[in-house]
Amino acid sequence: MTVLLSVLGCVLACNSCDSELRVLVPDAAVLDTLVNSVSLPAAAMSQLDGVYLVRSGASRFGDTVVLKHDGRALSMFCQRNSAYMVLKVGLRNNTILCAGYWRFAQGSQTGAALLSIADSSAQSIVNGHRPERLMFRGSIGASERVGEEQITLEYLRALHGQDSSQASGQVLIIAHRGGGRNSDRLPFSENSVELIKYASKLGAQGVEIDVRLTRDSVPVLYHDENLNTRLVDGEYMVGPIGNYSLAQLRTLARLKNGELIPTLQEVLDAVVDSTDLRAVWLDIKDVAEVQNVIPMQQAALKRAAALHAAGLRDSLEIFFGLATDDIYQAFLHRADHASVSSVCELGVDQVLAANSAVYGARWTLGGLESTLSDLHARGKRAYVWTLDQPEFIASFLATTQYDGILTNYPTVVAYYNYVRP
Amino acid sequence: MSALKTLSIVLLLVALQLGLNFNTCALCADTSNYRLHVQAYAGRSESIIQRTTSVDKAEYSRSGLVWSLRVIAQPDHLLGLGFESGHLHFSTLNVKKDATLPEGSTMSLTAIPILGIFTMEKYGLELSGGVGTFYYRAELDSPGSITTSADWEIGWTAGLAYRFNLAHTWVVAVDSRYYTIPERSVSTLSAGLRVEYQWWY
Repeated sequence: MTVLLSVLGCVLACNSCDSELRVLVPDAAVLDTLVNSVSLPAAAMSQLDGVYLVRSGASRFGDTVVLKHDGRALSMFCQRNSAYMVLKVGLRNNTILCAGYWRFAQGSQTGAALLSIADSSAQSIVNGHRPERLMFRGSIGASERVGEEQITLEYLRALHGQDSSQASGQVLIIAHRGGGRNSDRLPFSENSVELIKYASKLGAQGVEIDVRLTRDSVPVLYHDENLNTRLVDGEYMVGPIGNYSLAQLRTLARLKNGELIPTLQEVLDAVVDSTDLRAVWLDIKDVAEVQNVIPMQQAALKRAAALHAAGLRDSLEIFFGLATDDIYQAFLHRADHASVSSVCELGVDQVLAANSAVYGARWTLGGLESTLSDLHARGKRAYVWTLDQPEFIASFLATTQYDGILTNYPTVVAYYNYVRP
Repeated sequence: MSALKTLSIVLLLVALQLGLNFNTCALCADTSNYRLHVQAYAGRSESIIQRTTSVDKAEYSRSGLVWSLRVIAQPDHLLGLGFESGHLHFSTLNVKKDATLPEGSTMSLTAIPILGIFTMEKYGLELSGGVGTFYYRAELDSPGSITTSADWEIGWTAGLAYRFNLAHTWVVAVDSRYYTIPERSVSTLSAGLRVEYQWWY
């Protein structure tokens, strides 16, 4: 009987479903190419930004692509297949090397990528000048090796918004859940410090994060009300996250890619000190957070403002999210609510009553032409959520006046945003 | 290899059953057409679960006790239908030393199944299966505080038993059951004894 039970158990265990979604980033051997290379200065990295014609490789990436750096890495955003690349950049032997991976944002295809700029063009870039004809040449693969398909890019024009005359038409790209969902199989778990630090490589200029309270009233980042296998591994993690203390969560739970569930304080510190993100949208899930979170928001804003004044980072806005009536009412009861930067999803009247900086509009409401004009006239902004379909992203960017787009696919929004004439 | 082994053991069990079908049974000769069984089962379980905690020093156990109660209605054919509930144990962790959790903390993972059950019996050999919901529960007992947290999960069960009729209304059985909650990747396999009372009507 024991043998039968053991064998039957093994068979059933081996045949059980594994619903875990694997990360889709190749462990690229191509990064060895950057060994002994040196980093490019910021002025040189800026020369790489632009809209490029795809001379070869268009079948996978489309006819035009956008290259944009975040100070540390160079990203490529494409229309076709919602493809993108994230490349580390180095200089070696008078050649600029860009090594990393490509993938389809809404599919499972991925592989290694290696691009380079050689000789005199590289030297011009290093000196902070874009050469008259700037070409990237390289290859990609469908695995950890490159060489399967050649890719050639030729600089076409500057990104939309790089010209100061376009500054007023800028749209803020805000990544949902700190950069995207677990189901999108990104390198890090949603709502993790690691993903938030990575978000700018995906084209995001801001992040939306979900804030919940632990049993001991510590604000942490977690989307769902309950601890579940979509978001965490942890044998004893069952039911509402609010049933557990921070110490229990830290000891017994890991996010799907192994990270700790972060506290809001850790995240705000990371955003201020380790990113150039310009906005954080706090999606407040519990009315009790009105008292806990606002002091943290104010302290982080103060520190970011000091760093901005010292020229050490871009300006940063942190919005307290007003998404439900009970949170909205508790917010209004605070004497200082008018001075707290907030994003209100409930309606224009509530935006004005709470003196919210931003109206968060569901995308199904459409363009809201007159509403947005009215809000802009009153000095307010409007961000639309959560816009994921490429055709709608293109349409909203072309035809509406929204000031920001919240999306699970910042790479797609980045392409359509920067490729605008 | 494991599939072949499983097949061999199943064939052995069937052969064993054919040899032992003496208990089909003078005791239960009855002209009644319908039976209502009330079955009480208790067994020792071993869970199939991946440990995902990172406590520094702890005693961890996947073994435990399982008990359940089934009520099965069986018309005049092989198939019986009914309900089951009870208590399943998946794992226990006793913390000896950890940086964040107090020494002496214990954690346990259990479930209360609420399942629809079918059974099929021939020559005393009974196959059973069922699906339903589990009240899946974690309890974290630290000195000074107890955390209990639970959620509802979908799962299923399968079982194999051999019934011995002791009297017209009393039956004992050796019983083995498998319970699983796929969403949680948690399963338990148990073996034990069952006592059963049956009303004929």
